Amino acid sequence: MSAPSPFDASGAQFAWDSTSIKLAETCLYKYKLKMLDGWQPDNKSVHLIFGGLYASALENFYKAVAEGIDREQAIRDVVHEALIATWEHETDEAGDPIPETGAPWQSNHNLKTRGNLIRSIIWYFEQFRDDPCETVHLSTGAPAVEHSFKLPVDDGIVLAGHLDRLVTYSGSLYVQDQKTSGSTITGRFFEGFNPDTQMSLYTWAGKAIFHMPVKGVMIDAAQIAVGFTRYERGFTFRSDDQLDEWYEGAMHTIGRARAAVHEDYFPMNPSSCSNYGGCEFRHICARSPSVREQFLKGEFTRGDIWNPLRSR
Amino acid sequence: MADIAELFSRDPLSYSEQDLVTIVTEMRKSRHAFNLGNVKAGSTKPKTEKQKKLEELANGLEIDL
Repeated sequence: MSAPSPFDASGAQFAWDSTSIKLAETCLYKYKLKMLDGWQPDNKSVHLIFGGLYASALENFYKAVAEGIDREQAIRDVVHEALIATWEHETDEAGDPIPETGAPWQSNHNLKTRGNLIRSIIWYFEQFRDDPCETVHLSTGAPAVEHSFKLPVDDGIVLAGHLDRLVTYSGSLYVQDQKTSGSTITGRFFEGFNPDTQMSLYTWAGKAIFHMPVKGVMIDAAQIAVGFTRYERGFTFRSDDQLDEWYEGAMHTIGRARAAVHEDYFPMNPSSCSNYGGCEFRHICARSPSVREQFLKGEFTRGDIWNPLRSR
Repeated sequence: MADIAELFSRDPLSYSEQDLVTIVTEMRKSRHAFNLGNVKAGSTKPKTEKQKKLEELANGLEIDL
């Protein structure tokens, strides 16, 4: 079943996740290009593909183990899933993969490769073999893993997202999140998540959904290198005051983006163009507005609009 | 990781349970070797002929420490 539209009758977005809030925080023009117009690069970011497959494997592992599947079996299952997901099969009319066709996914990055993905998954389970952190079980007995949420808040807005796992660690509750990086993981890496909308939303949602005193997000970060994967565990904490502040700011950002839709005016934020290695649209925005669409069509395609209401 | 290179070049839909055991086992061995100081043990790049030959020679050595 397809997910409902995240836009209301006025055309403004009412369902928001951290991805779309971050876009609006960063630049309203980028928000328009990506979120409203659906422009996507012809080649999906290797970092998104790699990070998504890695996080899915770990999430599926924890879900399987919480449901009682043997640990070794769960590892083999998620490794197999990752290997299949990174094999580009030809498909039949129903869209199903045809066995013995296709070839392995060829990454265009020297670190985020298929082999390094599988290594990183298996080494993670070795690194955290005797992990003191445990999955929380809800009062229903169900494990708090793989939880998509849609929470109505003020002014008809819905905050949505997906929590991988709620854990206890040293007597405290955290949402767990997985990150991968090509760089050495230092304290500065974890400092980068405060302030951060994704981590604030996860903490806020964890408290709202589970009615438990979630302290923040436990981040298991993996440094992917040519010959190894190294892991560091870090935490980002949020007090109630910080969450209140974040919520007010997020609602203000959402209000600004909705007003931009109603006014059909999406100003650029030139100060953000160089962030994180440079915005993917930077060279497009550098063109004259009259020719911008032509250049967009040359390098981007209009694909499915990102939908925060789509459950994983 | 010669076995892994061969396995990785095959359609994973054709894998047996033993194939998956092999992949997990070889990856664990590579981590162990890396932790012991072999900084190239975790590389997932296919081995060159020279590397394969050296590995064969090393496996044939009988050394008691």
